[in-house]
Amino acid sequence: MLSPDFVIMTAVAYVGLLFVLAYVSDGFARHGRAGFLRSPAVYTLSISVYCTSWTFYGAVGTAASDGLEFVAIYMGPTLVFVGWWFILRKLVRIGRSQRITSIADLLSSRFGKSSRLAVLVTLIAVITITPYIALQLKAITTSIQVISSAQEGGSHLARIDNNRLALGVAIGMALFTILFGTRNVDAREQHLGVVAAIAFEAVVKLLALIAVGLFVVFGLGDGPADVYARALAAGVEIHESDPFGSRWVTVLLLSASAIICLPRQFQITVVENSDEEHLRTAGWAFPAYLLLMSLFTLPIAFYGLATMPAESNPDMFVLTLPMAAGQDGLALFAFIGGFSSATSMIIIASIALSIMVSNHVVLPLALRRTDHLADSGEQGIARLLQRSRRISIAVMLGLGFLYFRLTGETGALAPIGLISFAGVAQFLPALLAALYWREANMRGALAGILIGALVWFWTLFLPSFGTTSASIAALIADGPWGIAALRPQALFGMEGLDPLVHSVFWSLFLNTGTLIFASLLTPQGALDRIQAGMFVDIFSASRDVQAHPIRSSATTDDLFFVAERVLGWRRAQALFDADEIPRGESAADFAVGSDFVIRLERELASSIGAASAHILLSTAIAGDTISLEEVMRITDETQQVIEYSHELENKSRELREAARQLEEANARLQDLHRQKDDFLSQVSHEVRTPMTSIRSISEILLKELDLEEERRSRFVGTIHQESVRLTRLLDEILDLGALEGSERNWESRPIDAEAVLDRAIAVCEALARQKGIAVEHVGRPLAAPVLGDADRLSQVFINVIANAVSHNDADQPVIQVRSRIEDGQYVVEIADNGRGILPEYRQSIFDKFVRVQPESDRGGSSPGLGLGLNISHVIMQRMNGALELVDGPLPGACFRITLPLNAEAIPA
Amino acid sequence: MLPHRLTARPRPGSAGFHRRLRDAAFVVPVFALLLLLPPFLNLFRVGRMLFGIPLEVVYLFAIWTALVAGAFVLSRHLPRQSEIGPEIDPEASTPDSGQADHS
Repeated sequence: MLSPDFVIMTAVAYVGLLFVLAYVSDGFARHGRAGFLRSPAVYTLSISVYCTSWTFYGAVGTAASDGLEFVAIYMGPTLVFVGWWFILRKLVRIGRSQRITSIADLLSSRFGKSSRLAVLVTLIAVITITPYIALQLKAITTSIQVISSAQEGGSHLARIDNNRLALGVAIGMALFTILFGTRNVDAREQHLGVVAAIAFEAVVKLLALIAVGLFVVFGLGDGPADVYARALAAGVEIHESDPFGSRWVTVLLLSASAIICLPRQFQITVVENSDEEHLRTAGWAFPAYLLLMSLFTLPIAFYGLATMPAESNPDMFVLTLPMAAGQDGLALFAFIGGFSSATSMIIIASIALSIMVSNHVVLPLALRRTDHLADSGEQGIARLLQRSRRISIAVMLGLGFLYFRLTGETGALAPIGLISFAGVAQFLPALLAALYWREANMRGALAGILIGALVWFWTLFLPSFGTTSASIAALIADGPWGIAALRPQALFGMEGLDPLVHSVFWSLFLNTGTLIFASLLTPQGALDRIQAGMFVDIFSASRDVQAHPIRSSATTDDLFFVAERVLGWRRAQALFDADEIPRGESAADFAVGSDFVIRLERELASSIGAASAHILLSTAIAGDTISLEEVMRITDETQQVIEYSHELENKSRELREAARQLEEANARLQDLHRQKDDFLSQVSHEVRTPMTSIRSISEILLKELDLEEERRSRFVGTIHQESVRLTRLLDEILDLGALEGSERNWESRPIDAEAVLDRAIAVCEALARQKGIAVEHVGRPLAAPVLGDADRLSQVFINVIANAVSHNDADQPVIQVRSRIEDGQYVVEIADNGRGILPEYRQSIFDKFVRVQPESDRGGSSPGLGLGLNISHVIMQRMNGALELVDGPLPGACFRITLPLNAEAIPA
Repeated sequence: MLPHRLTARPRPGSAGFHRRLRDAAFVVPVFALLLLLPPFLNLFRVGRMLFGIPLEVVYLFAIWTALVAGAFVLSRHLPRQSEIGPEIDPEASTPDSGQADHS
């Protein structure tokens, strides 16, 4: 057994370690070497302040009495963090951009910077969290009692009763929090020392719980299955006794809302966040942390139930199981783990509450009482804040201690965890409306939260004293003044429900209903509307508000005076210099931009909260022709004008685009029209030439009947020749029409292109021999399976080779045909050593009626019509191939024909 | 459920991929919530054991583990702020944001 002296001294030493850790971290931060402290890992660990001693010890107790319900307490936060992209990311973004200092500040800032709302939220938070702090104190004293219970008397420390012990803990925590939690009042300068200590505590409590878990499951038991078997043998019900029902759903909902709405969670997740990207890690790492925390809860509970005496407290199994096995060291480690979870909650909760109390309660009161800030001096407000924060931390812990003192010996503290969750859950409807519902207004939020909190107080908080107070027990049984419909646990006659489910149902139902109806029925203030836009559309395009100079009787000196009182001379100076705002006599007529006023207000808000900042600046500009609301409204209108003109811009851009497309289509049509005209005139020209000669010759033949035979037959020969040319021309035009109009759709069949090429060369052989041209065929793949029409392909080959033959006028004319397979393509190059194609024709060679040789060179037996290459080109396109003019191996022209190989025919 | 199991998925880094991921980031917690609510949950409260552990316990912790794994995969692929620029409704997109979406 451990002596109380030893346990208490260990706890004191541990707190000392936390002091050192926080001090060193703060030192690092001040010298700008806090990189590690701003890491996603530390951020994630600090979020685990969610796991208080209520979950450290209490989860096992819950598991022992209610089975798997404890899983719901972790599952809600798990779901919220897994879905971080939707709620948390928006929350953090808003928190950072609006310099939010607490959940009260967030709600008040969104709902028109309302002071009343901030005060209400602060009050509810204090009422719900103070018992929670008391619960932590109780956990610490109980655990010390349990771990050192065997020793009575002896040392003098053991004579310290629980109250003194709790007082000591409260004082120690207050000291720590005041020292490290109120170093600065600015929300953007995070409490890195505190966060470092919290992260360290997170590691300690996780390791402690896992160590105990491993010891119980594998040291005492023989694996998880053995633990369950033993529990079963001891007559413990290891299966869920009741079906999962409304209570499971309620706890799931409460825990999910608590991870956002609990002031300490909001403080750590939103206010202390230094980088939005950290959520990316926390999104999976925090659920993983929770999973590890609860992995051994059930085995510990069941092993304890199976082996410990019946009267032992299941809440303390984490301590008593190692102690019963004589593992004092492990028990001490577990104690430190529980101690860690309690202290970290106390520290963060009191920081969060003190910020809320000082910003939303103390400061507005102080501002109202002192009309003139003149007597406060430089940073007077900041110092006032710091002092009020320190005092409120002490008061908060004092209240917690008082609550502990009054209820500690009764059972009233035990269920306070979920009661507290249900209390802060009243912020949830307003919070979600703040993020997603533009029309929600201040009256709705205020009324909703107020009604919800009253119902919660009546149906859940008050009945928690039912076991200790006879009058409250009577109230629960009969209702106030005997009105049965108002009985706290059976409101309006809704009986038979679990009290928690009953309370959460009524409070959230009335809360949400009031929020919605009040918002719809009452008008939204100007500031409310502006803030709604900024919150709901936080991810939309950045709002570049145009500077709107305001003329006001408040000089820049007045504004500087306000800024200096809160931010201190140096920061105020930097802020004004950054915008080049002049001060002093010379600046009497200077018009300050509205954007600067807004920025100044935001800077102030990061220290004193949005509502107080607004009041402060409003008083500075008070009695002015132009109020701050006016400034805001102007900004909003400017914004709307900008949005409207954006819309107009978009519309006109669309119109311009449509007009451009029309123009293009028109140009294409005109081009086609011109091509058609050209084609027609070319065709008629081509037809006219042979027709003219046929007509003139036939006229001669008709008139001069006595022509000699030799001339007559020459004339008839010419007529025949010209009509053949005419027919060929018409044939080709028909061909072209067929190809382009796709009247005739030929079938693509698998063919061997190499065989087709062979046949085409054979056909041209005679023509070539006639002109004394040698046709060389080099390269040659064995076969070239392609998809196409053999006749058409042959037509292309013949056309190109015939062209090469007829246009080759070299001394030793040569035509080279190379065929090969390259990159899944069948490639044929037909080159000659003629004159080649003149550069000016290279572009248009494949157009209709383009003839390369000058007119004077024409004549001969087969003058080209200028359609052959065009037809070939179209055919190749139809077969998914290509016909191009390339630089060939010979001095003359070189045409390349490519066709994709038939993939199916290629053996894999 | 996860994007990389979808067929014909858009190219990673493209706007379509980001949209799909955002949808997945919404579906994963919502679907998990459905699996964790009574009608479903009670299917596993049948008094059976798996590996010597009550079935409902195995089920809950399996879902939990899968959630952590899903969140891990998602958070590695969800676009960073620098990648998406300002987010706005597709209908109301301005040209600036459209360009940012494709970058």
